[in-house]
Amino acid sequence: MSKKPDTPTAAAKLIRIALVEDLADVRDSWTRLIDGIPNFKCVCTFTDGEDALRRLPGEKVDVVLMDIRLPRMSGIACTARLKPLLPDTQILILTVSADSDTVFRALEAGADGYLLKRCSPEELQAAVLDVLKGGVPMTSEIARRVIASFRRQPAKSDAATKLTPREEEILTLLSKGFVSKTIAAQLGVSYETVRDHLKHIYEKLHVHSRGEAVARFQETQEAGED
Amino acid sequence: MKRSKDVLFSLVRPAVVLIGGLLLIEACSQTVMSQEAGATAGGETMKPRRPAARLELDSANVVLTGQFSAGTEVQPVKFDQPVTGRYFCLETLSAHDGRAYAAVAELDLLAASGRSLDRQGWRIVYADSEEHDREDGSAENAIDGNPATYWHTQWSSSSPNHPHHLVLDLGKSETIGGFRYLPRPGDGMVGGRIKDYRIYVGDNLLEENPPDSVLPEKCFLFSYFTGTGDDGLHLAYSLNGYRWEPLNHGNSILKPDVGDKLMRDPCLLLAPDGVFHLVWTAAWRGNYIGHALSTDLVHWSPQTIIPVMTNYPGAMNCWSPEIFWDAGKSEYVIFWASAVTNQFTGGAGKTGQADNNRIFGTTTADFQTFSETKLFFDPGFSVVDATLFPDKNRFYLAFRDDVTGHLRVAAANHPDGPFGAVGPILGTDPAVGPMLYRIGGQIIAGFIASGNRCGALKTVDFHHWEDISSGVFFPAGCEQGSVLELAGEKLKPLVQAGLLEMGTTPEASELGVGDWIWTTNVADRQACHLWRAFDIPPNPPVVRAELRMTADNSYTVYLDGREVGRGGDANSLAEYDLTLLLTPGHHVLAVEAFNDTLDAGVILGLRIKLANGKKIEVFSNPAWRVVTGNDRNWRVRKEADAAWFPAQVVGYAGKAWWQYPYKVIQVPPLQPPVVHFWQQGWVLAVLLLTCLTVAVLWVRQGLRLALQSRAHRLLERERARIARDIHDELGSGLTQLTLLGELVLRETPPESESRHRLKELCARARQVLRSMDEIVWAVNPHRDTVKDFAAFVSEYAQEYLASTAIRCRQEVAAELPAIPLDLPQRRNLMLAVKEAIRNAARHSGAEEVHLKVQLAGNILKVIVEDNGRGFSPAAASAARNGLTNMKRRLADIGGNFVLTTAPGKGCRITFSLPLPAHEKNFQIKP
Repeated sequence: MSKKPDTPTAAAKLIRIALVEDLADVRDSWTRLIDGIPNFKCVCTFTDGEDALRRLPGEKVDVVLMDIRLPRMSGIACTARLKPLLPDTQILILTVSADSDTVFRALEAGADGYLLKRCSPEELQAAVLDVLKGGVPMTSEIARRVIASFRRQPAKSDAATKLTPREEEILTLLSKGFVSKTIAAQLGVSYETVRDHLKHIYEKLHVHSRGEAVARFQETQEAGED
Repeated sequence: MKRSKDVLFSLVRPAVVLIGGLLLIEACSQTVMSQEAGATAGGETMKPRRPAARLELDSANVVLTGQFSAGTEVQPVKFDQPVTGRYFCLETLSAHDGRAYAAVAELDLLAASGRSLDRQGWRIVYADSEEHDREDGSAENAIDGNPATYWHTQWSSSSPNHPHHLVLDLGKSETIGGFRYLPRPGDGMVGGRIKDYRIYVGDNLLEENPPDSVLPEKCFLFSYFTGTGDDGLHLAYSLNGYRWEPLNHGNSILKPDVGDKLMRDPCLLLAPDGVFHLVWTAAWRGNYIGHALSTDLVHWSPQTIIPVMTNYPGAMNCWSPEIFWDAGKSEYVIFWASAVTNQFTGGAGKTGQADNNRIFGTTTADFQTFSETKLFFDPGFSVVDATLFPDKNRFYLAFRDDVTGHLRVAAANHPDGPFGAVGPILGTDPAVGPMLYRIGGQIIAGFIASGNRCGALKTVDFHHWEDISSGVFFPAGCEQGSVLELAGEKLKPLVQAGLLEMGTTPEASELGVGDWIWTTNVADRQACHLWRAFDIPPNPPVVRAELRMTADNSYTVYLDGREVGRGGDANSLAEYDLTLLLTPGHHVLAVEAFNDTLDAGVILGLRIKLANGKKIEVFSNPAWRVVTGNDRNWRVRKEADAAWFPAQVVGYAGKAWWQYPYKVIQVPPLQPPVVHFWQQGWVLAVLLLTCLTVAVLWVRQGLRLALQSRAHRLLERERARIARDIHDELGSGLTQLTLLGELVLRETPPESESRHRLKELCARARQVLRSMDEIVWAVNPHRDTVKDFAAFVSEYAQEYLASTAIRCRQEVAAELPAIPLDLPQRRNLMLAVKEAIRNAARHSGAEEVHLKVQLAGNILKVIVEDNGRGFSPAAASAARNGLTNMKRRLADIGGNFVLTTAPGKGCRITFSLPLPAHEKNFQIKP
């Protein structure tokens, strides 16, 4: 699910983008599209997850656009392995349909956001800029899944993976359909604060969910799903 | 979709029925008692208690053929010529009333002078038929002197026809001049009055042999004396060597004729030529012994004395002679004990020199010439009562050591010595007159102990002797003698002479048992299995059946393989009531008997009475077979195995075996095994058929379900494949199209016409992709649960409303179950909800649209509520169309549509859909 397009602010810095996509013409089109956006440059492309894992850490990249469907290692698995190697690089999952199940799994694995393949260049630009600013995707359905995921945690979890009451509050409001701005207003904090909370929530989610997400994704892949 | 648990349950139920049915059949399938019909009648009928004889009438013996007149007066008949013979036979050829019966009230024989012959010593030796059941028509009534009693042929259970035969045994040859016939008393209507008849007289009218089954195969004969020996030779026989029955009622059969008219210490030998030799002590003082011969033990040669000690003038006596056949030298060895005055020093007996006996012997081949009498055995002390016994190439001399008074044994390699060292004393008691014989593998030494008591010792090696006196029963009052083992047929002359009655005593025969039987060799700790089959006719039914039996030492008896009883008291008979078990057909009696030691035998009698009065009797006799081999089913064998041999008679009831009081102990009647209703063949067949039917149906059901679920799985797989194909092919293709479109858009100049068109093209393509998404979502079988529906609806609402100014609020239940919705349900509900949201966005003018997805029991509720201006349901046609659509969509899937609105009050649409009853599964689908 894509976001409301944000007005692109002119950033002097060049945004270096990596693309992991196995289909050649799609890769080609994307590269040209990215390069067409001002201040965006597609600096390297990879054909599969193993290739990306080998070479990406050596590159200097700001955002990785990762196709969810790759030949051997899935995009989600690659994300899970890549994120610890490049904690400062943002990873956006590219998916054909915004199936909340798939999206949530990608987020659990460590993706910082997702993008529909059918998005327009404007939407792409907005999403990249957003994620670089620290934005995280959060629909009410995803918020519900996050809540459920944390509820499933074993009782002995430590502070690193337990939600704080404020975080829980924010998640609950999100699940009810409130947007971040409204939540910030309601809680009397700034929008950035809410965004930071969400970032923390995701980090905690990643800690205990990463391996699970990969495994579950692989299960369903074998069963013939997306 | 049927889940595996459903399939399992619907298969489990018939499976339980099937297994239950099979177990039921298993429990019931005992062998169904088959009722075999139509067996041949058989069994033994009551025979007249006379020595069985075979009639051998020769026309040469015919005296006359005549006809009695009718009437009841006595009818005298005179022969033309007096005839002589021992047997008188009346043959009836017809009766006056034309019926099958014959009857004689009295039969009188007349001498040539016309005087009645004395009936003393007469007996009826043969009558072909006698009525016993309904009246006493036994043949003895014809010579009992009572005109009221009469002989009558059988008429109650069978009516044998003329000719009938009645044979008198006069005891000795008589001259008969005629006879008198007294017909049966009564009026003219009674039957049996003889009309035509024939008379036979002769000495050989009968073959009067004891039936072979009465004579044992072999037996023991004990020759002895009683008291002082004045009355001569006594004989006793035994069938098993343990119990002895005196012949001639205990009277002697041969009186001493020579010497001092004394016959003591008799010793009997059966020579190879078949002649019996008897030697005995003929005088207290003398130098001779007595000798006689016989071929049949009945008739004896004149007694002679053999002066054996003529060469020893100082001989004072010749005592306890023995005669032995030396097969090696083909001569008789005769030895005796003699004291010769001053011949021997030392080792005198208790009365001094006069009792200093030694054994002297002589040999002869023909009893004409004798070898010179020599010292046969001199152990250095007084010895008497020597007896010789061969065993395993050695010859053992048992004798009485007159000094100690005990029995001892010495052995040699030849019958006439020389004898080796004397062994230790036998037993503990002082004894005289050792008599050695063999029972099976054991050697028995009988002896006379003090107090006129007989005892016996047992050995197998002549070293270790065991006292078995308590188990050996010599005739009362017997003194020493010798024991011979004989073939049973040697007793035939004695039987014929009336000196020996084989068979059960009349008193004991009342007990209803046969003879004591056993296998041929008796041994200690021996098991003996006996078998007999018999038939019960189909009709008339059995009224009563009693089995009386006992065994020495113990038995278990089976009827048709089923244990009937067991026992171990040889002193009493157990009586078993088998009435209920003897159904018509073939039956098998099996006896397992065990002998601890000494005597062994089984005695039994099964008496069966039928409804018509006829009796069937199965007694212990040589018709029983001794079972050999390892057949475990011998107790139910219908026919005897060829290897099984006839049992041997080892004793007769009433004779030596049974001289102590007996009891009959009754055992409660035995019930036949119950054949339950369910054991009948047809019940089992029906059960089996039912189980088979259930099994077939179960398998079919299982197959059908398997096929169904397989079809279902295939469909699912197809759906998934379609979804994937659409997603992959169409989706990626369309995506690429949009990308290309964007690229082209970039390259077109900003003012051109085509830019606008291209933008539209891209937007359209995106729209198509969005629709495709929905289709794929709908078709995807992995997204068919309530939970997935809620997620989809939530995402749609948020996305759609995000492009409007309306706030989206949601309340989606956190724990929605993974209950599957089928395709129409999902599609219809989705379309209806989408329409509701769009309506709210377009027409309501609301600030906020609230989406609620909840589960109430098993009803799924989706509520779309807005806080807009609301409307009156009756008005607004455009809205109505949409409303109609929504209503129809819900109705199509069995759901409900409720509209709550009023002007200024917003609008609430509630969609409710009942979900199929299913187990709640709160697992969130991964």
